Order: sequence, then structure tokens, then C-alpha cells
Amino acid sequence: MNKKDIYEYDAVIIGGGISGCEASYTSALSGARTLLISINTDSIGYMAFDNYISNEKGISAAGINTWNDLALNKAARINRIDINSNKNTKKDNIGDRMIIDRKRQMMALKSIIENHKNIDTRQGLAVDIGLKKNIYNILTNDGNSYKSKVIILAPGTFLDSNIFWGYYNIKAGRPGEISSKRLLRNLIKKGFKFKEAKLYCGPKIDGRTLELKKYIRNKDKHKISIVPEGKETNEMYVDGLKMAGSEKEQLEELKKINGMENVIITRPGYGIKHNILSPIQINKNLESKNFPGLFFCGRINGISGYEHTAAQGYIAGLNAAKKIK
Amino acid sequence: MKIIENSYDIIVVGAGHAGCEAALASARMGLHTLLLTINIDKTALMPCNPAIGGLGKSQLVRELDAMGGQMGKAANRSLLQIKTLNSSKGPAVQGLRAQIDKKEYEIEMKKVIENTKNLILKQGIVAKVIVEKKETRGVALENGPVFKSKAVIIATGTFLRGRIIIGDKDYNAGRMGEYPSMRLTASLKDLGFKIDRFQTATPPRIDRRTIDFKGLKLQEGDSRALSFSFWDTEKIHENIPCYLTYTNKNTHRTIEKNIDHSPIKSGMIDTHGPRHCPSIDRKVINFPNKTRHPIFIEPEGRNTNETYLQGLTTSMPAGIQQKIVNTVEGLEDARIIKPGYAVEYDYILPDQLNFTMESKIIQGLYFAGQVNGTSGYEEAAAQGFVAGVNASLKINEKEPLILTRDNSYIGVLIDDLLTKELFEPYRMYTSRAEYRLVLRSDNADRRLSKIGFKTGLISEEMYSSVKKRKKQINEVIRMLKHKKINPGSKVNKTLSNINTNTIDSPTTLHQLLKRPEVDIDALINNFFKEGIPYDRKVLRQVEIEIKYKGYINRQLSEIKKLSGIEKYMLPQGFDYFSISGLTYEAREKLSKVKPNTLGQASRIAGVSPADISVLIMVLKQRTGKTVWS
Repeated sequence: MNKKDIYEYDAVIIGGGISGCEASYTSALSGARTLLISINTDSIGYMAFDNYISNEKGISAAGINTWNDLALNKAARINRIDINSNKNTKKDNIGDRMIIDRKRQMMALKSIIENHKNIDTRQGLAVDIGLKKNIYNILTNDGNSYKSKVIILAPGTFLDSNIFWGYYNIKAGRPGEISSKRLLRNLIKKGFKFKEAKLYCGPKIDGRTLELKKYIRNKDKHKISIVPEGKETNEMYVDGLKMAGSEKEQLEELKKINGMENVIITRPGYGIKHNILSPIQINKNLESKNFPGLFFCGRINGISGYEHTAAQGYIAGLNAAKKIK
Repeated sequence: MKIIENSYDIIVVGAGHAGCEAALASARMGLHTLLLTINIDKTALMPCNPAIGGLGKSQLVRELDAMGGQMGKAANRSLLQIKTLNSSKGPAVQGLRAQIDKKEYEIEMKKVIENTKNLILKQGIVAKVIVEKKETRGVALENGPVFKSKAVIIATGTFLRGRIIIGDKDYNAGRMGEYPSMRLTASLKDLGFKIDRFQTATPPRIDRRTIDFKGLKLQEGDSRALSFSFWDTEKIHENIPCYLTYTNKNTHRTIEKNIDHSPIKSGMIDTHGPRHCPSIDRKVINFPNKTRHPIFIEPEGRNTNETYLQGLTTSMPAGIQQKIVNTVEGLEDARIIKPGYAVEYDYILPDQLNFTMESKIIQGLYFAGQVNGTSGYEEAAAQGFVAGVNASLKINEKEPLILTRDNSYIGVLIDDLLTKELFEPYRMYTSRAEYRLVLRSDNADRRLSKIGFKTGLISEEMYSSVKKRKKQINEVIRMLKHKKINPGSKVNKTLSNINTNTIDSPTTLHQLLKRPEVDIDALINNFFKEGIPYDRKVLRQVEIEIKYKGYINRQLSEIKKLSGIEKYMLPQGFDYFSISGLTYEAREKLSKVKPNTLGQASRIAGVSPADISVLIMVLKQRTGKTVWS
């Protein structure tokens, strides 16, 4: 085998979230030499919001007939938490969703990605892209640049984003993680139009502070779920309450729920203000109208839910690979 | 469990290795503890090498383990291989080193923390330490909440105004991809703390699939039963190999050619980094005559192809890092996944602390780990433990835990930190300990488990097992002293068989074991045909005690001689300038360092033995306390 050029790929995917992983995997399955760039490779495959895949959403993904090939699904299946054997969880709160062990899923998905022969992973913060004679050039903040026939942008919530709860806000792509400002600026320079969007992530609580004998339900009878984060952690995700008030307000709200009178929040819920593309700028195959070979998938297109973003990753990956041939 | 959510006994800021040990110790001692971190997902993260232990560091972990710390156990449960270093040398310089699966270590440690009673792990960025009348009252988070407490332990690692540098690029981050704490430093400065900046760096990680292992030297763990923790059963562990390769002339030429891009040359970094762990750029500059430097290739975990290059630390531009890597044998086609980088951060000058890790100026405010100017997971964990225990003891109005140079490496670490001026991040070595034949990795349980038992961190059952072992060691020594063998053809043939000289007069097994070439197993096998009812751990201790008795006794008598001045507490706020018998330099240095004990005073550079004699006299006159009581 010839020595591979490590700065030249068929496809470069920017962002290692669920959509970026799926795009990379699909592109690689189609035979394209693929590079996945992530700000921190430790976070490849991380599920940032809830940690289950519900059946309704599952159907939409299954509609494209690839459900079984989705890397997300493979990793998720390995790391599914068996609800019936988990005494901490009431079955009727969960419904028939598949609950995922967040950390183990991330490790498994990262491993699937890392071990595909056509995928290379790379830590770096993409700051700019350029196009010359049908070849794209991707610049990272460590001074490297990569050539590629196609680019798939899957930056999720990381484009010049702020997280907030109460009056507090901080520049972040996710809690604790830096966001990416320069890439957005440079995309705008190229004529792309973005708009501001918000998403909300529920709080996480210390599972030991729940009283499980009481039926967990809030007084307004909104459906809320308390979902275990993993087999090896006590943290639980509170889903169903849109929470971005101050930590005090969140706590007061949670305490109204039966069984949660003594609850302790481990991570407050938050909103994330970020930038998404106005989707009029892309074709049905997720390719940019003005920049052939530049694809967008996942949250940047304004969609949410792992199945949707994974499905878009699949579509982008497939079309990008087609383009190369 | 019921905890008032806004009020705790102890708050620990930072959930790295110092913070985890601090929080566990204090919660296990019964105090309501809050452990705060910027990102819970990064709890107990190992940001640099995937290993725990090593020479000097092994002693720290074992001492921690003996007193009820967690690091040794967590290492045991997440390791990829383990070995005894220097097994062919004397026991004083032996130690354990384990390669660790980083993600498994995080999961294990977080699991233990989350299941500890009295302990809450919580996400939040601390902006301010709240102090009233020089006493700690709690912390305020950047997003508003205030948590009250009686003590606060700062264990922020590299996160105080952290700045990452690769080549000519830099940005604010505590670790790669993670934002730092930008506001806490100002709060500490307002309280009167002196703060400086240090720098440290990490090597690139490469894709395991791109390494050519042929021709590289295999580095395996031991295949015999071992345990990092005294409290786990020894067993034969998995043995996932590392590999050894070397830099070469071509590597050095590549670095020299690009040296102007190195942040340490270009002026991007002007703070001090660890001399003991220099970047490859620094090594090439400082040792122009060396033709090669070793590089150990170490896996970061079972679930990832990312592979660590120990010895190739650099923060050159990523493209140049790639070229440097590719000059090395076996790495010709290696591809970097994570480029190496440097991180610069605030630390507090540790001479502002007491032996308890509590600050001299603010009651109830403790510091532990890298924020004190140290480097290394083990050094951090040791300080965290001492801070956690002492914060708890103080709240419970009990005598503080003060570890000393003569009972532990942790004592050496803290004494050095408080006394010596730091020019670079501090790392432990065996050479730093003057009593290293007494302070061994293998006998830490005998030395320190009593402390663990007294603080309640070691159970009675565990402590009894150590006492039992102590008793057994003495029994075996006595037995060997009594068992005499007589010269005869059969005995002498046996002795020849075990490769030692024959005897011509009655000799005890104790005497025979003093011979360097004789090991205890050979004696037991040949002269106790039915075997003896003692396990390997006991026999190994007996062997060390007998073989090195002369040296050990010499160190013990020295310790005894010096223990008077080591234990002599100096009054704080003492006016050293009023003592005319002291040299001016000694007065200056003593006023600056404000040593806690006479022993500490004696180690300050610029304070001579003559100064100490003067001090002893003056103290006797003024306080009536004598040193040799």
C-alpha cells in the first residue's frame, strides 16, 4: 500500500457528534477516505441532550431502511440499559424507549469510528474552509490544513454558542467545552446566512436523592421522565421540563414533584443559544446550492433528536461519497 | 440521605486527582462534602500520561492507600499492566508502576465518589471564596448560587486562567477543548495570596494503527501476582504491552531546524516548565551531544487507538510535530490524532501554606495539587488527601495530621513545598527522601495504616490485618534467628546448589539470609521441608528487614536524633528580626517562609546549623520550651 497522505482526504467531516459520526461512517462505508475533525476527540460520539431513542423517532430513521447499519444504533444496542433489571427506574415512566448508557455508548461509538479502515480521527478546531479548483481546504487552529473533495459540516450547537440558565451565560458549545467562533465568521463571509436558535437540556440529579417509593410525577401532570445516565453512575437525567431558569428556580420546580422533595441537582438544566443555517441554502441531498461538495447535516440544519441528526448524517455521507465517485 | 443543599462542612473546588481524594477523605470522615467541577464528565480525568506510580510516585500512592486513600484501588481496577520497577535493585528504590485505561479509571473513580455517603458531586464554576474576618465561609459560583461551608479546598489543577499554546497559536483553556476558570484567581489575590504562573506540556497522541511495531522493544508488565493496593488481593493482571523506541539524529535535526517555532524559543511561553519532564525541544537544546532519547509508546485505553508517546512532549506547530514523530523508528507512518500542547496556569506560592495544607492567612482555606505548583497525579492526590483529612479534623476539633520527612514521602513532599523555593513544577523522586530505606513502597501499610485507622479511613479489620502481619514478620525473624544449621556434606551441598558459599561452623538462617545472593524462598524451600504458614508478603518483608538491617537501623537512629527538632513547633508571628544572633539572611528567610517547625527552619536555604543553634537558645529563653524534651 502506498503511503497515505494524511493531509489529503476524499471527505472531511467537521464535528464528532452523533450526526458527524454517522456521516463519517457512511462516507467510509462507501469507500471514501474520510477524516473526522473534533475539537476534543475525547468527546466523539457524545450524546449531549437526553439519552434515549424513542420509537416514534426511530421509525423516521427506519424509514430510510438503514437503521441496522447506523453506527449509532450499533453502539446504542451494545450499551442499552435494560429497564426491567434496573430497579431505579419505573417502567411506565420510560415507555418503550431504548435507554442508552451515555459514557459506554460514547466509548463504543468512538471505537467503531476509530477502527473503520477508511476513517481517520483528528483533534482540532476547524476555523476556515476554502475552495480552489474543486478542492476544499480546511484550516484548523493548530496551524494544519487538510485538502478534501467534499466537506460535511456537522458542528451541532458549537457555532459561536452561549449556554445560559437564569441570568448567567457563558460562551460554550456544551457545558465545560469551548465553542467555535471563527468558523461561523468565515462561513458568513462566504455568503452563508445563519439564524440564532435555542435548545434546552434538562437538569441532571443525584439519583440517591430520589424517593422511589413515591410515584414520580409533577403536579401539572406533564409527562416527565427520570432516566438513568448509565449503569455505573447515580446521575439521572430529568426530561420533560424545559429548564433554563436559575439554579434556585430549577430546584424549586423539581421539588414540587412527588418523590423529589429532597432532590439535589448535579448539573443544572440550561439553554444553548447557537447558530443554525437557513435551510433554503441547501438542496435535498443536504448539499450547499452555492458550494457544490459542501454538505450540512444535523443540528446545523435546525433539526433535533439523535435519530434525525443521525439520519441526516447518513444522507450527507452517502451523497458526499457519491459526489466523489 | 438528607443534606441541606446550600450548606456543607467542606467544599472541594475541582474534581481532578487532588479534589477526588480530598472530597472522599472528608466525606468518609463523616463531614458533609460538596465536590464542584466545571464538567462532571471530566471527573478524575488523566490529562497527560496513562500511568500511575513510578519511582517515588509509587511510594506516594502506597502511603495514600495505607491511610485510606482511593488512588491505589482505582488504579488496580483499571490497569492495563503493572510491574515492579528496579526489581533488581534495592527495595528502597523499588516501586510499582501501572499503565491505566484512562476512561475506565474515570468511570471507576466517579462511581466511588457518587456512592460515598455525605458526598455530593456537582457541576459549577467557582468565582469567589467567601471569607469573613479571615475565616472561610463558603464559595460563590459564577452563575449565582452561594454554598456555605466551614472549609474550602482549592484543587483547580491547570484551570486558573489556563492558556493553551500550540506553536504560535494560543487560547484560553484549562485543558484541550475545555474552558478555564477566569475569575477565581482575582478572588484569591484579593484575599492576599501571592500567585505566579507555571507551564506544563503533553506529547502528541498517535493512531495505533499507523505504528510499525516490528523491531520495537516490547515493554510488558510483570506476569506474577501484584496489587497496587494493600487492601486488594494480589493477582495476575492483564498484560497489555507498551513499546520502546528512540529518537535519532534525524529527529534532532528536524527539531533544530524548526526550533524558532518552538514556543519556548519564540517567546510564546516565558514561564517555567518542569525540568524533570522537559519537552523534546528542550532536551535537544540542552543535550546537544546526546544522540538519542527514549520514547515509550503507551496505550491510552482498551477502547481507543489513541496512543501516548512518553518522551516526545512538544508544543511546536502541529505540522512540525507530525514531522518530528515521523523521524522515529516505528513511527515513520504514524499519524497524530491529538497534537501535543503546552498549558500555562496560575499557581499559589506554596510557602503560604501550613503542613495541614491550610493557608496561613485564611482559616479554613486549603490548597492541594497542581495549584500549589506540583506536577503529577500522585503528588496531587497525596496533597488532596492531607487537605481533606485536615479540614475534617479541624472541624471536628481534633489534632491535625502532620506528616513528616521521617514517616512518609508525603511528608517529604509537603515539607519541600513549604520550605524550598520552587523554580519549576515539583515532582517526587526517591532522591528527595533522606530516609528512603525506611520509607519504602512495600512497607507503607506498616508505617501509616495506624493514621488511617485513627482517622476512621481504615477499618478495624484492615488495621488488624496489618498488625497481624507485623507480628508475623517478627515471628519469622525470630524463627530464622533460632534455626541453626550445622556444617556437613548434605547442608553444604544444598548451599552450593543455591549458589552461596559453604559453611564451616554452625550458622543461623538469619546469618545466611544476610548474604546478598541468598533469598528467603531458597532457605524456606531447603530447610523447612514442610513449608511454613506465612504468605509471600510476610516473607518478602522479613527478607528486606534482615538484609538491610544495618542501613535501616542507621536511618532510624538518625530519625530519632532529629525528631526533637522535627516536632518542635515554632510560634507563628515570631519576630525573627529581633534575634540579633541570627545572620541577616536567616532573619529574612525565616520571616518570609514562617516555618512551622524547627526541622523545617533547618532546611531553608540560607539558614545554617549555627542559626538553628541560636534559635534553639532564644526559643528556650522566650518560651521555656526545650527541644530535647
